[in-house]
Amino acid sequence: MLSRKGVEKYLPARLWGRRHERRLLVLVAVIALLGVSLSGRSNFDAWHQGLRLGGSLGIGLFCLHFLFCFADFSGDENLLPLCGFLCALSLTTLAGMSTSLAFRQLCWMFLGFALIPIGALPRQWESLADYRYLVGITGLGLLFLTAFFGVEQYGARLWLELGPVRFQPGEVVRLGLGVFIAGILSENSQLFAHPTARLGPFSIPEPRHLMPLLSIWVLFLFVLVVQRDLGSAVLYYALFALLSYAATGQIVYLALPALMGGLGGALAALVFSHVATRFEIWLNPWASPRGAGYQIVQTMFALANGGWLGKGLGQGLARAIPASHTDLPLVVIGEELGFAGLTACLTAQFLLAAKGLAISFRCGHGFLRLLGLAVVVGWSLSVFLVAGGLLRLVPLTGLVTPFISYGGTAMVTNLFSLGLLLNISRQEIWS
Amino acid sequence: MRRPAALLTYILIGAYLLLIGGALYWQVGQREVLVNHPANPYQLLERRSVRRGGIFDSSGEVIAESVQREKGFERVFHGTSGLAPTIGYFSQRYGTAGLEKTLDEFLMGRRYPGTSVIGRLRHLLSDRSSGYDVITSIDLDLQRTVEQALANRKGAAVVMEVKTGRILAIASMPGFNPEEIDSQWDKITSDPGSPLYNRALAGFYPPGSTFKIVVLAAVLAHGELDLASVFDDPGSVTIQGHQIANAGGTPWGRISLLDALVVSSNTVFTEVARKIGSDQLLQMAGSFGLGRKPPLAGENVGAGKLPSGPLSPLELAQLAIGQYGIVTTPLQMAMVVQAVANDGLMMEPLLVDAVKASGNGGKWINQPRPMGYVVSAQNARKIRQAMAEVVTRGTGRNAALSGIDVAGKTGSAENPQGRAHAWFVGMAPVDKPAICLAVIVEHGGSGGGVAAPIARRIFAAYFQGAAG
Repeated sequence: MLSRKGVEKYLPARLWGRRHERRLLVLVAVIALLGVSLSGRSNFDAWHQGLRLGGSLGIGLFCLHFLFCFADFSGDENLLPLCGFLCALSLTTLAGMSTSLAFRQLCWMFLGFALIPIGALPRQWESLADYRYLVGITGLGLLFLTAFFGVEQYGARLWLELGPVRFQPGEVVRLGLGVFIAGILSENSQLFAHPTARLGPFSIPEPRHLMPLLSIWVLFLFVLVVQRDLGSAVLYYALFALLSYAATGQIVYLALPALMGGLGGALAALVFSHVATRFEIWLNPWASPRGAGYQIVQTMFALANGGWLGKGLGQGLARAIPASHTDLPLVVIGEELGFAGLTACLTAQFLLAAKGLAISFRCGHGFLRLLGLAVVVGWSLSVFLVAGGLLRLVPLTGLVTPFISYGGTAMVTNLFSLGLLLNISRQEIWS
Repeated sequence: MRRPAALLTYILIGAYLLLIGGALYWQVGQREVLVNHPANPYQLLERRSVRRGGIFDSSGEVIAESVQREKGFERVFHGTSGLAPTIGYFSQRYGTAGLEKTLDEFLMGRRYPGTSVIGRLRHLLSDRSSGYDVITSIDLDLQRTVEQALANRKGAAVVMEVKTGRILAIASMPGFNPEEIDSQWDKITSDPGSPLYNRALAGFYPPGSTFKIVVLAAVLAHGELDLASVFDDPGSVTIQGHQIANAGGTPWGRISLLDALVVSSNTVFTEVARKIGSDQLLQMAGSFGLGRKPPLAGENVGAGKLPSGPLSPLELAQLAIGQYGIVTTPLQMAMVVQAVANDGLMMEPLLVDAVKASGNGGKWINQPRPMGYVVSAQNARKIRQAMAEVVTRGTGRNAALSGIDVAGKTGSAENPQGRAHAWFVGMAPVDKPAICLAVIVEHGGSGGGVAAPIARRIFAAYFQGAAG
């Protein structure tokens, strides 16, 4: 039995639990209030607008927390505060750009918060594995629709329009692909772990088990190539390789795709001019600092202007770069909060991923474990590809930064994924 | 399952460290290079996005202000061209100069002018979209008169308030229009008149006979001689084979020290300088602040030069008439007369009266600061009386004004570049001086003939304005 301290003795008995989460959330709420108020102070019509925006986020998080308390939820207590911190950073950067953007993002967050319990509380999510083909084909269909009937914006066809609603299915598709791969791999994990057929020096599973996986995966890559969405292609490719490795423990599933990926990338750079351009910009952005290299050159300037501690919230100018709210929130953080702020943000993402990995590997249920891994690896890959692109470790891609970038679909899907991860972290299914 | 868990964790940690390393590289390692990169628009954007504070004269008239235009804020100059070298410019392309540079941190709103902790905190939390206004001690009406009196001649003038050391007018001619810096840069910088050069603060000129004020102060402080002491003036003396003569070579015969100042006798002043010695003279010149940078903020304030002793008899004789090894700025000479006018108490020169937050924000006043007594009050009064006679019946007659008693000293400083520089330093009214000034016209010739009438016009305008 927990001991009762301070304010907590006035709370109903059920609220004595999840104390760690509550304390972290208080911190997150304070950060949200301060961050949003300071960052948006020149945009707000009234000073209390910042408190309303930041405070709403805090209230939303606390509602979830109390819901978990009342439901006697035994899931992890670190995930929600970490995600809340990232959401607070997201609102902070957006409030510095425009109040209406921040408000819309907050609405999306609330929709996502509403989906978290749906992901976290029910016990039936393991049966999602039964619908793996449906989910996989739906994802593929969505991708097809966007590739051929989507709306173009900023030179890439990533948007679907359904009447008045316009959304970017990329993140939904990623989750769908995760469900699909996790389903197939958990079903046949023994077959994959102990391969019987041979391909040259490598042992591989029987082709009839491998076919559905490979065929759908190749289709995915094909669509992405048509869509010219290089970032997502790399992400799905790496996601598949890492999940296969995690499911089987066979290093061949990591080594072979890495080799093939390298060759494929080189081939793509030779065949497709837009891929070659990406590489050229990456290697030498100074060749056209006002043209193709504009975004990366401006990013370097903004990051350098930030220095150790940054220019101060609301004092940065990176928000003036086109598409900064979707593509460059990390740069805004790096400029306004400096190396310290960027490190804090990356560390939160790292901790979220590390906690997620630990949770997934602890899970006793094969499908849920792989699903958790799919979610976590997807986030980490996104963060690495985006941040690595901005820091010129890899070519720049237009991927979404989880919980940070402006974007409704991504925010809702990622929050729902967080719900699933919370579900997987329940003590009842520890192995 | 142990192996994949460990490997994935290592990959995750490796990727995290790689990202942190990347951030460190760009934000700290490459910072200097990128921040100063010519294509980096941030400095410029930052400057354009802030409403830079205005610069005002003491009555609130605008000298320079930022006005919102389509492309962002633009600096508009309402001052006079002779004031421009002191106020300076604010250019996106050529940087800043003058007060615009010295006070840049305040004008851009980056630095809090006060000391209160709460104020500092509020400054930190404000959106900093507008800078602090600066109220200078300049009186634009007087400034215009000064420039009209100088009338397109190369030269400078500094007018100071005696009690406080506030600079009421400061002109460096020829000047320029700060708004034309961007469009006419090449023309302005290649102008043979060097309009960007601030002659009033940093123009180096031999003081000539105006330095006799300092010699007289040293003599009076020495104590053996007095204004009534009588000398024999042969019209010229030869020291170490070098002839030093009076203007026009006039021999004044038996003449008192007072009359020697009134007629600006070079022979008598070389004689008294020999009597008190170079140490005493250099010490007095040093305590008048000559050879030292005046305590006025800004990088374009000159220190001038003062020879260091011991001097040979010829060097001492030439120093006594302000011609050997000594160069001064108009500001320094204005400070010399300020000390004499203020009963010996020298004040720090003051160009900024206050820094003010826009709207109803706070105001931080720059209080006048005394530097210390240079001469005794009694001696200062004696020097003033002698200088008054210079104007009533001596070389400075052209500065005389009806109704107001003016005191002053002329100088015609010989220089290797051409005709003598015409000097006049003075104060008014003699009994209780309100303002003092230093005027120089480069290669103008005789101080009494060229500089004194300019001083007269300035005094006339000031006291007319003060009376009316």
